[in-house]
Amino acid sequence: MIQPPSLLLEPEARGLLVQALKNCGKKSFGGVDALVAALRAGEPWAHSLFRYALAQELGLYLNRICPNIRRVYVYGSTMDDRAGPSSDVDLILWVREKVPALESLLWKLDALLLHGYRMLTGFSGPPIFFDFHIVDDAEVAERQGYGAVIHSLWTAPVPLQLPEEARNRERTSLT
Amino acid sequence: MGVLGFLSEVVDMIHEGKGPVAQALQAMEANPYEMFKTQVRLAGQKLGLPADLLKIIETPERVLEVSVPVKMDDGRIEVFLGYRVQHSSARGPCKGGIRYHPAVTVDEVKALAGWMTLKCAVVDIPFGGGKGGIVCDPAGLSEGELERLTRRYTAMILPLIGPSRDIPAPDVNTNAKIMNWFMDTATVLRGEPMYAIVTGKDVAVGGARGRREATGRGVMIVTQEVLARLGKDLRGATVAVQGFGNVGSVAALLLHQAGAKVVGVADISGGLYHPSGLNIPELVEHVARSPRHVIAGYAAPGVVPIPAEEVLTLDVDVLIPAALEGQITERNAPRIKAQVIVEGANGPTTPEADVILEERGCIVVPDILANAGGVVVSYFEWVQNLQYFFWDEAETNARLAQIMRRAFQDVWNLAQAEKVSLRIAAQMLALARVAEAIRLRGLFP
Repeated sequence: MIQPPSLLLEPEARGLLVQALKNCGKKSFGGVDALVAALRAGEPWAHSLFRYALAQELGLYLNRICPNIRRVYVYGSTMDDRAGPSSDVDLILWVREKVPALESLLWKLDALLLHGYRMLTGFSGPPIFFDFHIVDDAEVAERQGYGAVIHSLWTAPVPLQLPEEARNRERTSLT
Repeated sequence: MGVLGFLSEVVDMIHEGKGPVAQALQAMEANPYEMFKTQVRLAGQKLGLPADLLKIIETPERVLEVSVPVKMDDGRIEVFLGYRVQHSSARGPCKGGIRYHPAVTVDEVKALAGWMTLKCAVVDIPFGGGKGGIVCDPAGLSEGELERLTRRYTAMILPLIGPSRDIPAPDVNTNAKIMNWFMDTATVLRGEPMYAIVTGKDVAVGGARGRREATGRGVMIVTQEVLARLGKDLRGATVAVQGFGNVGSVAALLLHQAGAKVVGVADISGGLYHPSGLNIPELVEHVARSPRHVIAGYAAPGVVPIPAEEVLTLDVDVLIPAALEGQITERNAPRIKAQVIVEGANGPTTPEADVILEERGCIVVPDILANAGGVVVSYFEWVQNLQYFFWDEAETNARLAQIMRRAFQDVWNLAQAEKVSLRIAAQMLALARVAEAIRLRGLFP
C-alpha cells in the first residue's frame, strides 16, 4: 500500500512513547499502569516527569539521526513541575547549521506523538506537543532570538540529560 | 524484574493488546489525513498564510461514501464500500486516481486527494485534487466481478464526477482496462460520449500516446535539469536506478539514450552493476522476455550481480529510487554517495533520511515534482478528449518536457530564494498557488 512518507515515522513515534512510559513509569511510579493512571488524573507531577522522559527520548532519537545537533534544552512548565494535561514542552535545539528537513521531521513527529498522547491520556492536549525552536551557532554567538534564551539568567533552559542506560542501548543498537 | 524482563513484558503487552496502556498505544494508528494537515500547516507557516485560509485548504470540499453491491460469480451479492473525495477545485476540476485495496480508508483517501491538489499545483496544470477507492481485494475477484464492481462504483459516484468536475485515473490495483469500463459506463448512463471523464484509458478509446512512459520521462527531464543547475552534463554522468518497472526502466532507458551511464539497476530479483554502464536497451528487452518481468538471469560481459540494496549506495552522480516507499532510511542514508537523488517512486525517502541527506549536502528532487510526469500526461489526455483532437507522441513528449522544465525551474528558484530544500520549496509553491486561487475567487456567498 502506498503511504505518505510521513507515516513511515509511525513506528518511531510509537517507540518514543513506549520508551518514555517505561523509563518514567519504572523510575518514579513503580510501573507503567500507575504512571498512566496519574497522567489520566491530570497530576502535574506525572505530566512533568513524563514530558521530561519523552523529551529525553526525543533527544536520543535526534542525536542518532542528526549529528549536527549540539544540544537540546528544555524549559518552562516541564522543568518547573507544573505541567498539566494541556501543557506543551518547550524545547530549544541548538544546531551547528539549520537544515529545513529537520524542522519538517519534527513537525511530523510531533503530530504523531500528540495523537499518541491523546489516545494514552484521554486529554486533548496542547495544539502542538513539542514547542521547539531551532537556533544555529551564529544565533547563539550573537544572542539572537532563542539563541539569547540559552544564555538567559532568568529563564535559563536546562540542557537535556540523556540517561546513561539509554545511551548504551543506543550504542548497542548501532553496532 | 530485570530490565530485559520488563522490556519484554511491555513489548508483549503491546503486541497482545493487554491492559489499557497497550490498547491506547494500539489505537495510536497514524492517520494519513492528520499528516497531510501537518504538512499544510508547516508550509503555510513558512508562507505566512492566515490560519483560516489554511483551514480551507486542509479540509476536503466533498467526501462521498458509497455502497457498491455486486453479484458475485457464485450468485451471492456482496456489498463493497467505496469513496470519492474531492479535495479542492480551486484551481480546476478535481483530478486523482482510484485504488482498489483491502486497506483503503476514508482518511487515507482524503490525504491522497489533498496531495493530488498539491501535485497538480506544483506542475501548474489546471486541476485540483481528488482521489477514490474501493475497499476490496482485487486479487480475489474474477474479471467479471471486477468489471461489475467498477461499473456499479462508476454509477454510484457519477452524480459528482464529470469532465469539468472531477476526472478519475488509475492508481493502486487499477489499470487502463478498468478506466475503459469506467468511461463506457459513464457514456452509457449519460447517453453521450464521455471520454474526458477519466484518464489512463487505452489509446484506442481515447488514451494519450506516451502515457505509459510519462512518469519515467518526467524523471529523466528533472534529472537533466538538476544536473544542469549543478553545472554538470547528463552525458557521462553515472546513474543508479532502484526499481525496473514502468518508471525505473523508462527513466533508465531515456537516460541511457541521452548519454548517461546507468551503472547499476535493481528490482525485486536482485541487482546488476557494470562500471562502464549497463546496456539498458538489451536489459529492457531481457525483462520483457522474462516470464516474471525481472532483471534476474541477465548476463553480459563485465556485468556483475550485486545485492539489490547495494544499488542505493553505489558511487554514482545520480540515484533514482523508483521502486517502493521507505527505501532510503537512516540506516543507509549515511552511506549514499550520490550527490543527486531523484524520487521516481512515491515516498522513497523516510523523513529521518531526509535530514541526514540534507545535512550531507545531497540534493533530493522530491516525488511530488519528480514523478509528476504521469499526471501531466493525464492532463494532456483530458485536453485531447475534450477537443476530440489527438496528438502524436512527439507532441506529447515535447509539451511534457516544457511543463516539467518550467515546474523544476519554479521550485529551484523558490528553494534558492527561501534557502529551503527542494521538497519544502515544492510544498510551499504548491500551497501558495492553491491559496492564491482561493483568494482570487473569493468566498461564496
